[in-house]
Amino acid sequence: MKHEEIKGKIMAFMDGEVKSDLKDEIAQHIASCPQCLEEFEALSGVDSYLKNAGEISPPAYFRENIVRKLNENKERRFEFNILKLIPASAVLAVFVLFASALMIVSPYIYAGDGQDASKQAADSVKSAVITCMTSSVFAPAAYAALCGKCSENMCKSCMAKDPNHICQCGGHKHGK
Amino acid sequence: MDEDIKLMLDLKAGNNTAFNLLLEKYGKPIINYIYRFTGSKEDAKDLAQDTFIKVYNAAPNYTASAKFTTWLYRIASNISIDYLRRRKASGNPTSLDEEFETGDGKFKEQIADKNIRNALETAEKAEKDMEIQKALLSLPENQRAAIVLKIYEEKSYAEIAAVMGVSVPAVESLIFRARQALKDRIKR
Ligand SMILES: [Zn+2]
Ligand SMILES: [Zn+2]
Ligand SMILES: [Zn+2]
Repeated sequence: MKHEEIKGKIMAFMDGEVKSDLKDEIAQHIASCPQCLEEFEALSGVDSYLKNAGEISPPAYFRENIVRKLNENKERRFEFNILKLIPASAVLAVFVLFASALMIVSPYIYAGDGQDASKQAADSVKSAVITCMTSSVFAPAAYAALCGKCSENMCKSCMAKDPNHICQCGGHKHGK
Repeated sequence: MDEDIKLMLDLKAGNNTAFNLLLEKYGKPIINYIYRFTGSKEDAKDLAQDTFIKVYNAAPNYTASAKFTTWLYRIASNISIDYLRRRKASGNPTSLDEEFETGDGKFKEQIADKNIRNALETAEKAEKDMEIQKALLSLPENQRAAIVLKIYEEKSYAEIAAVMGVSVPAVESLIFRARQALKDRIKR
């Protein structure tokens, strides 16, 4: 390779971005060509100048702050803030009523095509409600543990209930 | 399988311990990357938090299509760019943190301290840091992102290209122009 060509590869050489069979040739040329050596040293100078900068460390409670923010965000997305004031069991009761109504009505809404899909949806709501009713309404601790098996609304209320709880099912994805 | 991808898939499956491990591994690099990119020590901490919050929130939909770090640095870059836009809009485009201000106040106080040598060293170090940070901030955003990823994060051109969504030759040219500009600046 000629001088001009090598001069254009000095930076890639420094960054370890040239093919290994070219490395020796470039290194040898730099060592013997004052102009290329100057360029190499100038570029290396920039790197060592930048590398002199100090690092910063994560602040204390970095992780804790992230967890707190995660839960704050979830609460903010919780559209009806008033629900926070209502015990989770009341939310659940409303939800059960709503879901039951939906189960009764949905086959009529979707009469015609898509009956299977709506039946499936209704079944999954039904099973979620039943699962949660049996072990959560009377046992708030079990209610939180259930999160992830239940439906979106369950999940939301379980997070509203305990701000430090990170939803195992990633309930935040239901948000918005 | 890539260890980080495995951690992301664990997180997706609901294992929050995986999130802690990712935070431990990448908390510091991401804070420093954002700091070099934005020039603000204080805001870098908040922006790094936002980055990991995005990672957490994206976990349910995570698919192992790209290298994890590529995706992570892309999120951090976008968050930094948004922040720089907001700062620009507020009419304060390249401000460094208050604590960086030299010349009077903070450092003089320290120098007046009994332990003069230490204080001087600290002040010199801080001044040097500020000078480097100013040099970085003098570069256009895309050159700055590219050279920070290269020098401090030791990424390959290919990975920088993937983070920035540009071609490898484009990355090479960005880094080249950044180094030339800094070279002239150092000479002065
Ligand atoms: Zn030469
Ligand atoms: Zn939950
Ligand atoms: Zn859920």
